[in-house]
Amino acid sequence: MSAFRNKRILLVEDEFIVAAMAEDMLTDLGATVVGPAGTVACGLSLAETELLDAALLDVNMDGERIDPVAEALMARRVPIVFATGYGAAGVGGAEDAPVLDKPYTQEALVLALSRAMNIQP
Amino acid sequence: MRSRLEAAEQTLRAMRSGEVDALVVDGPQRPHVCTFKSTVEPYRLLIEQMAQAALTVSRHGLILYCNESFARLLGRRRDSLLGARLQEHVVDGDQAKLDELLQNGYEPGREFAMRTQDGDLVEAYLSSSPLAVEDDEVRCIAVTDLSQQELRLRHVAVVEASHDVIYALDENLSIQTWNHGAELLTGLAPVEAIGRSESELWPSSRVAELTDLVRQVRESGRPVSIDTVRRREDGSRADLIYTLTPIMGRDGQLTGYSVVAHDITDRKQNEERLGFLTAELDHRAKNLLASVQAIVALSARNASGLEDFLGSFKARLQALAVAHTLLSDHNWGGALIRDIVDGALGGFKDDSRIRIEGESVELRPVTAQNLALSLHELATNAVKYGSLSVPRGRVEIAWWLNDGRLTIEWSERDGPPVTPPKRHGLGSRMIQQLVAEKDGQVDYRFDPHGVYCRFELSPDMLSSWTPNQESQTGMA
Repeated sequence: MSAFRNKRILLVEDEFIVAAMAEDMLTDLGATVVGPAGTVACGLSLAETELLDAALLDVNMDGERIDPVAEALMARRVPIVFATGYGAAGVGGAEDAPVLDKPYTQEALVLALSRAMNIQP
Repeated sequence: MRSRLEAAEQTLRAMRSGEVDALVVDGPQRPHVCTFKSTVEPYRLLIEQMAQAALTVSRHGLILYCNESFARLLGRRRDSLLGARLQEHVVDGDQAKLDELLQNGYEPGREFAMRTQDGDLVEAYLSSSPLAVEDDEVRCIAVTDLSQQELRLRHVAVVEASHDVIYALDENLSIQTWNHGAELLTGLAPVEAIGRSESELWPSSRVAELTDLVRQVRESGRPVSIDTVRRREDGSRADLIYTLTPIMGRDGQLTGYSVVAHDITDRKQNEERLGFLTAELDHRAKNLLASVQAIVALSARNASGLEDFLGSFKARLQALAVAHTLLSDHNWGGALIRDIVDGALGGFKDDSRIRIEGESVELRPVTAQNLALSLHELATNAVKYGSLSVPRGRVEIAWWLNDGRLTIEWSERDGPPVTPPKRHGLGSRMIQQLVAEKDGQVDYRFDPHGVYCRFELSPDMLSSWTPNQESQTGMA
């Protein structure tokens, strides 16, 4: 059905209602959601231990930056998409990662994930 | 009478043109002969042209001679003053003082109020000395216009007292004056600053800026302002508007510069703060839109039809709004769990079927919002299918702290028999997320006698927020 079928995608988002929607969007694409993680600590634990094809990360986690999670993912060469209300603000070391401006549509999510994972949408 | 006046005028004209060497003045007992021992032309010219007002009077106040400056001070024509009495131009209250001035041969100086042609008063300082004449009948009076003097002194005082930095440079940028504001900013006393070169006060990395500024001022002949920064004595950074103004001599040549620097650090900080707040506001608005978008999507997904969608959408939006109001009331520093629980129960919070019990605990902003929406789902389900759907049903909501972790318990009793739902609702999904994922416990059971839900929040979801503390954190 889609290029994301059975892809394992880490979801880190502190607002659970937004996380639930993102989870539905990813599930609808056929992906398997790892998480959702609501804290940086939990996201980091999943980023270090889970088998992952990509990650969708909220940038500001209740005042705490997502950077440690992003760094752990980059070390494992896991493609990242950032979602933020702050606009396209690069996260340390991951300036090339696509940035989704909140609120985002499913189409925008597909484009960003495709770019990050270097696959045809 | 007329002939005497004509004679007096002739005498005065002769005096002015330097033709007389002596003057006969009527005294109280007998006429006196006043002789100018030294009516040398250069002296006359000096007195004529000097800026200070000066006059000679007889001991009785008859004005024998005055210079143009004196006439100007009183706003009168000089020829109208010659031969008049000085007393006519001094206010009544100062007449006794004037008599003393005229009687004493030598008077170092007193203040007088003098009246101008227009009736205005001029404060003046009069000093008198006997003119070297044969007898003691003529006084030479020097008049200092205090109104001008006062203005000048006030001008100096304004510069000196200003908290703005104001000082003068010579044409080689050597510091010549140093006001209080300059001392405040730099910590340098006047004695330390005067004589130094302006460039020594500039950070070495910015000296090129000064060179460029001086060039612009020289070329344009006009003041030029720049924004620059300085280190204060205590090492802190000061943002300045720095204005260099050329000072021209009488010949139109540049003789130096004035420096005026205004500290705009506070303004800059306010601008930065405003920029931060605007970005934060934009960020919050976008996050709120994302939340609303999520509520729309999730409500639509689970709705059986438009009516069902509208009902759950409106109720969830309301729950979100209540949580936002609580957080906004506390400057987004956090919220009290009791307020969140009350808000999530909405119209049911005072319902006799509900018991709420727990200590005062503060939640971080995002946790507060997540909990508010989760509890809203539990409450909605209780009203639709659970114990709040019947009159005798009960709900107990309790929480307690244990080792820094917050346990929250929701238990329904005496409702209709419970059957587990076919799929997880939004409330269940959110509560699963709410608990601390790694080692948190969630216990969500659809027991036949009532729904039971118990979950734990980790210490980092709780806030050390106090009502007066402003939020430094945002939502995302």
